[in-house]
Amino acid sequence: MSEINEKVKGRLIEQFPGVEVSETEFGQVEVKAPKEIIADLARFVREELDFDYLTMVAGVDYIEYLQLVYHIRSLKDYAELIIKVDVDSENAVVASVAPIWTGANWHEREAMDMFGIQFEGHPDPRPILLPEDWQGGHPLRKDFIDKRPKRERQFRTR
Amino acid sequence: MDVSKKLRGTVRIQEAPMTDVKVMGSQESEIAPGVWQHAPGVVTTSLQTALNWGRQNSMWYLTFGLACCAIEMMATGGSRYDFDRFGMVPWPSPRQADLMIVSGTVTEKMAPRVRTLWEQMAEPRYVIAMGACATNGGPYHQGYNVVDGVDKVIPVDVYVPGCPPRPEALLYGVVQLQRKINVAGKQEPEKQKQEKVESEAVKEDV
Ligand code: SF4
Repeated sequence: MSEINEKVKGRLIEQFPGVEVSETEFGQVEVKAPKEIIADLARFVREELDFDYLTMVAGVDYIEYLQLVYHIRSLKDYAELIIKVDVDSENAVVASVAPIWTGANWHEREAMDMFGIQFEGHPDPRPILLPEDWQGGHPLRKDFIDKRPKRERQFRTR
Repeated sequence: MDVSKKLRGTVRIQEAPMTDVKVMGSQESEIAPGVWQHAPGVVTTSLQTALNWGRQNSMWYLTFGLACCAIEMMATGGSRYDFDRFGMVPWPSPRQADLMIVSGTVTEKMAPRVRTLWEQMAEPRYVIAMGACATNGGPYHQGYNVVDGVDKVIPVDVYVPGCPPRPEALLYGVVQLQRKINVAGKQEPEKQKQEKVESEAVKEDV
């Protein structure tokens, strides 16, 4: 396990000198990358390092900025890689990885609904969980306010 | 011997008025006792009774679950509680389904789909709102994307409370729906009867 991690870390640093590479306590390789190189990084990881299975794409709101977290596995080497990309919350545009891992399609649509992150080059950028004509904002952002008229909570007294 | 009572037991026409079911062609006294246990013979009944009987005993429900309540609905469909006892079969196509059990939270994304499915069902169609969510939004009442009650989208016949309702509760809801189907078109509702009596009384007065 750890030789594979060392190999992955070495290849990543060699290929992308700017990225921060570390290892988590659970034996996953963690990469912090600027958002400009995400498409290149993803293609490199997929094609050269055999990380072929994207488990999830998650969004996080840290108030000052948003973050995208990609969990990727290698079914051949049993290794796991985490890529973290910081995104500006005002101008949240990132290159889509759906052309590289098809499984990213719905995950990115969900991040689009919930955090308002736009994915450039996404094959099917429709809302997935919210209604098609949704105008109410992005529910998982910390500054989200429910704009629907407030309804009284119905209490039952015994 | 009370033949018609015997007969009712044999063909299981429930709740039908005694005058509704008759044995043709003979007086009660001419029938030998015991014959009806083995050969029910010819039965007449009103068309409405027969229709209701058929409808209430073959409610095929749309295979369709929205949230956690669906698990309980599946448990009710399983062998322990057994929907099959009521002639209820899960049916994957809305075209042949009679009953829609809305089991779970209806989100605003899902609401138009629920409506479409309901519109695709052939009449007569029935709807059971299962659980607090389908009744009024339940625990997610104030959620940003939750429809508070499926009755905002489609008409509901029976509400089953609970979060989730136990299988017994759902079965009780089904029995209530059967009772509702059984009286359809047969008995006048109390209120109408009352009004009729009153209007006749007024006529007599005039
Ligand atoms: S009523 Fe309760 S169990 Fe049923 S769908 Fe809603 S939250 Fe789930």
